[in-house]
Amino acid sequence: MKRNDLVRLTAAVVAAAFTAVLGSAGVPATAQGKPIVIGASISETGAYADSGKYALQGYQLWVQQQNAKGGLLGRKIELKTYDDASDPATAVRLYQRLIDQDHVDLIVGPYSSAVTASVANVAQQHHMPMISPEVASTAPFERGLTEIFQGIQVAADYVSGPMEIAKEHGYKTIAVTGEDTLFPRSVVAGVEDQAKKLGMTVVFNQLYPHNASDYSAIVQKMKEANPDIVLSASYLPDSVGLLRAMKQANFAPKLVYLGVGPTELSFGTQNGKDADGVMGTGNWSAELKTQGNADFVKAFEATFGRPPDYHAASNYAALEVLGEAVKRAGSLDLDKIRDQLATLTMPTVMGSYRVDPKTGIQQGYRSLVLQWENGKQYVVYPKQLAQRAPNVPFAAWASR
Amino acid sequence: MHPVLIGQLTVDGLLLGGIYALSALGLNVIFGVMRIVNLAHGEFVIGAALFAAVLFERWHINPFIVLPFAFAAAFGGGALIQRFLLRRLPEDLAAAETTSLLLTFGISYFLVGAGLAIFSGNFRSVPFLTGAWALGAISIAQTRFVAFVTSSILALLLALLLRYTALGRSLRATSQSIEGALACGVDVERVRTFAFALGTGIAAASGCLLSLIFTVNPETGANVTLASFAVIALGGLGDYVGTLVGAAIIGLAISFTGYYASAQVAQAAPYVLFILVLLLRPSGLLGRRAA
Repeated sequence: MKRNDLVRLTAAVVAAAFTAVLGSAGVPATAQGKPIVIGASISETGAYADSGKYALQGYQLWVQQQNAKGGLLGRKIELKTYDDASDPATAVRLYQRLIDQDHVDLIVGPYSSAVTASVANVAQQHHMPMISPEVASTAPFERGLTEIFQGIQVAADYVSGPMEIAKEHGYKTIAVTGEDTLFPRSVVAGVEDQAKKLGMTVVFNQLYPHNASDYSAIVQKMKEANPDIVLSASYLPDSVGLLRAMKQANFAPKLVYLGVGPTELSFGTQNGKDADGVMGTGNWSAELKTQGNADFVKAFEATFGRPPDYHAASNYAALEVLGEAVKRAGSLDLDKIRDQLATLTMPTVMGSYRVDPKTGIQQGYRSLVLQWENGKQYVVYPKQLAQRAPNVPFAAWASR
Repeated sequence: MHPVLIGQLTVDGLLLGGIYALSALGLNVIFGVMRIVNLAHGEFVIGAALFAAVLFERWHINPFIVLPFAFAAAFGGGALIQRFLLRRLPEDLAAAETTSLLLTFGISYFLVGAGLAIFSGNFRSVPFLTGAWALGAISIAQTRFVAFVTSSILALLLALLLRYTALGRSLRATSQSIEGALACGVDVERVRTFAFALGTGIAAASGCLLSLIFTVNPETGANVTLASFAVIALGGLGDYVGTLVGAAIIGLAISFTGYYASAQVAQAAPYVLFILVLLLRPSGLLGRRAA
C-alpha cells in the first residue's frame, strides 16, 4: 500500500511539473497562435431554447466564416458559450465566470431582453464592451451604462410603420392595446404623441395582463369604440388569442397590427387563413437586400440545414460589428474597441449599424412591417425595403 | 345596460366556464376520493393540449379524435403514478396531505421540465373551428361552444358512472368515509387508483379541448391548476355538481369584469372570489358538505 501511494504521489508531482513547464514555456512560443476567445451565455434550454439556438448558430456561423478568412488580427477566433437555461441570474454568474475564470478576450450579448438587462451590469463592472443583439427595450441603456450597445431595433420604433401606412390610407382612429409588461408597454408608449403628429385620434387605450385568460371582453370594448385600426403590442400567445376573439366577435377594422407575435412562423400555423392581412413588426427578413444578406441565408442553410430566423441574423450582425470594431482598433484594447462600437457606422445583414454614442441605443436599424398573405410573410414597409405594397383594408371575416 | 351586450357577455362567460369545468372536475374527483391536492393537475392538462397541438400541426389530426386516446393514456399514466408513488405516502391522513402536496409539486416540476425538453417553450394551439355562429345579434364562438358541449357530455358521463355503477358507488362511498367503505368491503386501494387515473384522464381530455381555445406552452400548467382550484373551492371540495356551478360563476365573473372593469381585474376576479368563499363559506357556495 505504502509503495503504491508513493508511486502515485511521484506520478502526480511529475505530471504537475510537466504541465507547469509546458504551460510556462508554451505560452510565449505560441502567443501569436493563441485564439481570440469571445464569450457569451445563450438560452439553449428553458423557455427561450428554440430562439436561443438560432441566436447561437448566428454567432457560430460568423466565427466559422471569419476563421476561414484568416481570423481576426491574424489570430483564430474561438467562441466560448454556456447555457443559461433562460434564467437571468444564471446568465449573470456565467458572464462573471467567462470574465474572471475563463479570461475571455471579448464578450457578446446573451439571448432575450430580461437576461441582457441583468448581464449589462456585469459587463459594466468589468469594463467589457458588449454589443447586445437581443434587447429591444431601451430601459437598460437609460441607466448611464457606458459599455452596452444595442444590436437590434428600438421597441418604440415598432408602431411607427403601421401608423405611417394607416396615415397614407387616410385612416383616422386607433385602438391601442397590448400586454401590460415592460417591452410591450415601451412599444405603445409613444402612440398617443405620434397619433397627434399624424392627425389621428386614439379612441381606445387599455392593456391586458400577462397570461390573460380571455380576450373576448377587451375585443368587445374595442369593437364598440369602432376604430379604423387596431395596434396591439403582443407576443405570440396573446396575438393568437386576440385575433381569434376578433374573429369570434366578427370585428374587422381596416388595419390589424399585432406586435411581434405575427413575425413568428407559428402565428401562420396557428391561424391559417385567419392570419391573412395581419401585420407585425419584424427585425429582419431573408428577402432583405442588406449587405451580405443573401450569402448569409445561403451559408446558414448549408451549415445548419434550416433557414435562419431574425435571432440568427441579429446575432450574426453583432459579430460583424464587433469584428469590424476590433479591426479598426487594431488590437484587443477594450477602450479602443468600446469607442469604435460607439461611433462606427457599417452595413450588416440587419441594415446600417449606428448607435447613439452616449447611450448605445440603436439608431441605424429600421424595423420592418411584415404582413401575412396566403401563409407567407412579406415585408411591406419601409418602402425602400418592401417586397410588396401593404394589402389594406383588412378583409371582412365572412369573405375569407 | 344593453340587453344584447349582457347576452353576449353571459354567453362568453358560460362557455368559458364550461372549459374550466372539465379540468376542475378531474381535480375534484381526485380530491374527493383521495383527499390529495394534485398540484400537477395543470401539467397533465397542458401536456395533452400540447400533444393535440403537435398532432394537428404535423398530421392534421383533429383534437376530438385525439381526445379518447389522450384520456386512455393519461388514465394509464395516472394509475401508474398512484401505484408507484402516491401509494407510498404515509397511512396517516393528515401527514399524507402534506406529503402529497410535496410529491405532486415535485411531479409538476418534473413534467414542466420534460415538457420543455419534448415540446420546447414554443406556444401552441390548434387552429380548428375558429369562427363564430350568430344567434341574432349574439355571436357564439364555435370552439368554445363545441368544447362546452363536449365538456358537459363528459361531466354527464361522470355523473352516470358515479351514480349507477358499482365502481362509482364505491368511489362515492370512499369519498364520504374511508372507514365506512372499508367496513362495507370496498377495495379502497383499487378505488383510489381508479380515482387518480380517472382524474388524470379527465385532465387530459380537457387538455385536448383547451388546445382549441388557449395558446399554451409547458409552463402554463400552473395557471390551469390555479383556475381549477378556484372553481372547486367555489363549488365545494368533493362536490361534483358544485364544480359545474363554480365554473359557470368564474366564467361569468371573468367575462363581466373584463368588460366593465379591465382585463387586469378580470384576471384577479376568480381569486378574489376564491378568497371570499374561503372566508365566508369555507365548505363551498353550495355548502353541501364540510370539506
